[in-house]
Amino acid sequence: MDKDIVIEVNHVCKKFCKNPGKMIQYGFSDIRKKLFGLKLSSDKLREQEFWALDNVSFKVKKGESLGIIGLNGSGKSTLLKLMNGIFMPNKGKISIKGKVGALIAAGVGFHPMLTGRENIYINGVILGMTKKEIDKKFDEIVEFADIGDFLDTQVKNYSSGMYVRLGFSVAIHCEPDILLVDEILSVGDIEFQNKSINKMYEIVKSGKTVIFVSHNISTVLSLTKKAIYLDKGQIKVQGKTSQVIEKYAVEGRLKDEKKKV
Amino acid sequence: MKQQEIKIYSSESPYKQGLTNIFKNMLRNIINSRELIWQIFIRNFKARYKQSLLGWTWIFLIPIMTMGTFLLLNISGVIRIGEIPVPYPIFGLLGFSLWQIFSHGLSVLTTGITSAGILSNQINFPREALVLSSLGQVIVDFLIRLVLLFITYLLYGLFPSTWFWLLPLFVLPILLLTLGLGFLSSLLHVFLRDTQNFINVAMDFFLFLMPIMYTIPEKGFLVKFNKYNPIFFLIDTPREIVISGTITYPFEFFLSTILAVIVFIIGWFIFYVAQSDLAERI
Repeated sequence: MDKDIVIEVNHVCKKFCKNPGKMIQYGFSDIRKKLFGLKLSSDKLREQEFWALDNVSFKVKKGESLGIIGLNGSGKSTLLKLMNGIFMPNKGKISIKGKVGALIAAGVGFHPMLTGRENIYINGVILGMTKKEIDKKFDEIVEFADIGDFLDTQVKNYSSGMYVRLGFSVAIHCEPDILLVDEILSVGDIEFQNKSINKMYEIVKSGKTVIFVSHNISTVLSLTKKAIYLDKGQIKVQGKTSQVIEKYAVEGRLKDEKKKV
Repeated sequence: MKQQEIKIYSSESPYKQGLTNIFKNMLRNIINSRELIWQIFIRNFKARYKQSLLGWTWIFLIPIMTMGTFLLLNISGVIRIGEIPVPYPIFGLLGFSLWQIFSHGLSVLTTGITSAGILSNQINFPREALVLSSLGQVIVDFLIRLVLLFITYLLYGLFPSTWFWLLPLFVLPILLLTLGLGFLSSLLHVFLRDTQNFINVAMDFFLFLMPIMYTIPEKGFLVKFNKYNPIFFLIDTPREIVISGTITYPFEFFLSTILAVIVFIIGWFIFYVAQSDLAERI
């Protein structure tokens, strides 16, 4: 891998199974084959399987911000999860250099019975911070989340906005080298949304590598320089964000027109 | 410039990196996630405490009720408790507490992954942490029951044997067996959600088959069953250590310990290898 490349996705394919019964069957079969070192049936699709990602390749340099756009079900979240190492590709390879953090599902790991303060620690550790780091950034996290006097109240009594602000605040203070963001900036009220987007600008400017999945065209345009347009698991276009968005908009209109006919 | 490690995610077999590397990574996973294990344990611990007052008293109530049942069955002649060297409350409580490490432990570990919800498939972290932090609950329950046991001893004006401080060492094998099986059952539970039900039913059944709440009879089917039952030895020996400081079946205990260690290593290994297949199917 070249020195300045931090993410390299190489001919990656990922398949899933539609049918829950078959999914369990394949799950056992795959685990058994893995344990005994047997070859997996990665090349072909078994019954009820489909390719969520098909032959996806791209590279990201250090400090670059890459946008991933596409219709729902095009494979964006799957791609993000693969880059996060949550599961493995069926074909191809992903190489990552640096600590990865994910701004996905705000408030993951929150327990409703515990207070905001307690949940900050739990959430932070789950996202990869050490207790010392959390101690250091505690005040910043609380201020950004703007939950005021409710820090020592049980989280189950928070409004949905507070809940999401706190979760987002912890996640955004994780400071990984590579940040994966999945459609999370549209949470909260307009004030918080602006705050979040500004914080994202800061992160991008500070030289972190950011992968940004979103439906919000204007944010993708303003935050990223390069982008990928995914359609049914395949890369249709990649290049400068403005050009990719043009193609995405055109395709979207075409699909709409096809439906009308 | 800091040399950064390159992580590679591919469809390659985990054996390509070699067995030594696999075991090294397994160990590293646990060591690196020790803060996470502690935090999840504390979170569950606090939540349990905050939920109800009754939550804590159940730890005492359940053994008392079980002992009461066996006492009644003994009085009515249905089950022969037999000759025991200490009053029945002590015998029963000790046996029950040790048994619960295995039976309740296995049940709790089974749902370790599924109870974490979206956490398991949204964030990348070693999922062994979920299973290990569930074990924390089991250990806490056991320690509380030990305190209750001590109080019971004092109430009778008796003392445990002078070897009772060796108990942690002798409890380790049953803990390892529980963990090993727990790793496997937690995996299974992700795919087949009635795994926990099967385990609960089986455990209730086994409590009657094994001389935990009563002494081993002279003859009959139960003798044969327990002669080759490693779980019996892993529970009976620690109990003997506390009561009399003697070991009646040292060889069998040793063999059972070896089995427990093997099950633990196999369970841990399979869990480590199957982890990513899990995540996409939760």
